[in-house]
Amino acid sequence: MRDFQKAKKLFTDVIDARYYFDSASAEVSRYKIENAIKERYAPLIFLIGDPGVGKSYILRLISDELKNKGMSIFIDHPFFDKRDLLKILYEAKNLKFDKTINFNNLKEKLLEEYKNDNHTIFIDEAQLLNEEQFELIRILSDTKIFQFMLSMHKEEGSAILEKKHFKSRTKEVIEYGRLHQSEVYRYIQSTLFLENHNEIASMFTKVNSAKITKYCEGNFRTLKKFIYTLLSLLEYAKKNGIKKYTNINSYLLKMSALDIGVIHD
Amino acid sequence: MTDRAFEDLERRCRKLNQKLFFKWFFGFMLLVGLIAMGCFAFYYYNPLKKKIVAKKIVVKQKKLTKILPKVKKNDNYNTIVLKPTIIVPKREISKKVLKKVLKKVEKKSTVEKKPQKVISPTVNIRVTSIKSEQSLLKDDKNNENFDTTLTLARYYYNNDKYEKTIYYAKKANHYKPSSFKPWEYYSKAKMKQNKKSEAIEAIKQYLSYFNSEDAIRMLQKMESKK
Repeated sequence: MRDFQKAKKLFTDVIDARYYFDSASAEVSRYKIENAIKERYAPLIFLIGDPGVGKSYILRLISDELKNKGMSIFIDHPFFDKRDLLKILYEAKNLKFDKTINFNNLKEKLLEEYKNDNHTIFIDEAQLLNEEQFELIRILSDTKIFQFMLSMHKEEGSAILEKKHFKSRTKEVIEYGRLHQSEVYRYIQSTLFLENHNEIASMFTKVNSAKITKYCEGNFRTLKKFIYTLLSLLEYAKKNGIKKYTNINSYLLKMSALDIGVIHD
Repeated sequence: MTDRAFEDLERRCRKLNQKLFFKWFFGFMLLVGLIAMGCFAFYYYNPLKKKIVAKKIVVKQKKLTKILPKVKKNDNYNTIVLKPTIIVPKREISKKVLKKVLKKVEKKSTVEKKPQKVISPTVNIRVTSIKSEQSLLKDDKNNENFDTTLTLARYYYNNDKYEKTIYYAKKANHYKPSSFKPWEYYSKAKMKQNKKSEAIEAIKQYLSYFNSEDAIRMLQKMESKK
């Protein structure tokens, strides 16, 4: 039974550790990050890659793993003021944040509270931080009490790394790559098999996967969107009895690509 | 997914396919056009080829100037001996070579024998029925050329006037020394006059200048006749 409605839900853009896909790039990045956190040889870790390749996913995954040990703080919205970061760190330790105290005193008190444990602060979309915030991150990382893990877009990230705050600092730079067409095929198959959508999984051939990879350019987020749209179209065709679209063909792939905007008419 | 959204997607996809088709089609046509233009340019503007063509033309012109004889009006062709007025080194045909060529011709004639067409006698219209002797002579007088002279030779041969056949064959030979036809009528006329040796000699003389299968075949026929 082909239940496209249920199957397509597997490809929504939600971070769920159950559906972690062990692509070559993901595995290498994960190993490097875990090693850098464990060894603590670099107070600054940079994860750079194109938007949508899966940086946030891997960041969240590792952050969740460390959270169980009480060592991680995940910040997914970098639009904070200098004081906001201190507030987040205060709240993570269940400390009362007093707005009336000046910044330096707040910082000193915070370092006093954290000095006995090693903490890793994960900041997603770090390319949006401003100069002042970068300077604060540099100061905090220099204390060796905090380790920062910054995820950034490749283009902006490369420029940020050249800045004076980080150029001479000890840091680990990890680049997150795109998916290969064989990985796309494996991802689709494994995700569908995991929820027993075997019949739907068999509809995806290696040729189809190659075409999908070409449309998505190996981007993980675009891939998920593409499969979701494709399954929606198949669901519609099944519901309305359109025999032309009972199987995946180039026409359906083109329609999906048009719908998500990776190609234009 | 709504009906409208699906239909809209289908329409956009069709449009995209059409666009892609025309893009590939025009791209292909452009490529073919470019290749054709390249071939054309290579064929007509190849400096090497130009040299060869120019050389060939020069050779041809030389030949033509040598082949074409100066024909004077009112020549007495009775006194002229039939000969090819071409300046080429004379080839001596050894008996061995002649035998080889004859064998080849024999083989060809045996292999290439096709069922002969049956021509009804009504179709076989003679030249004499089209033009009278007087009109042919008038033509020859007004416009002396190879064709009219040869037609006259043929006319006289068909009407058993062998002296005149020989006269016009010689005349035709002066217009086109390389053509075998005048030699053919000359030899045939000689044969009819029971001058077999002269007829054979004429064909042999022609063969010493030109390699013609018709001439070889005729020589073979003549020699076989008793």
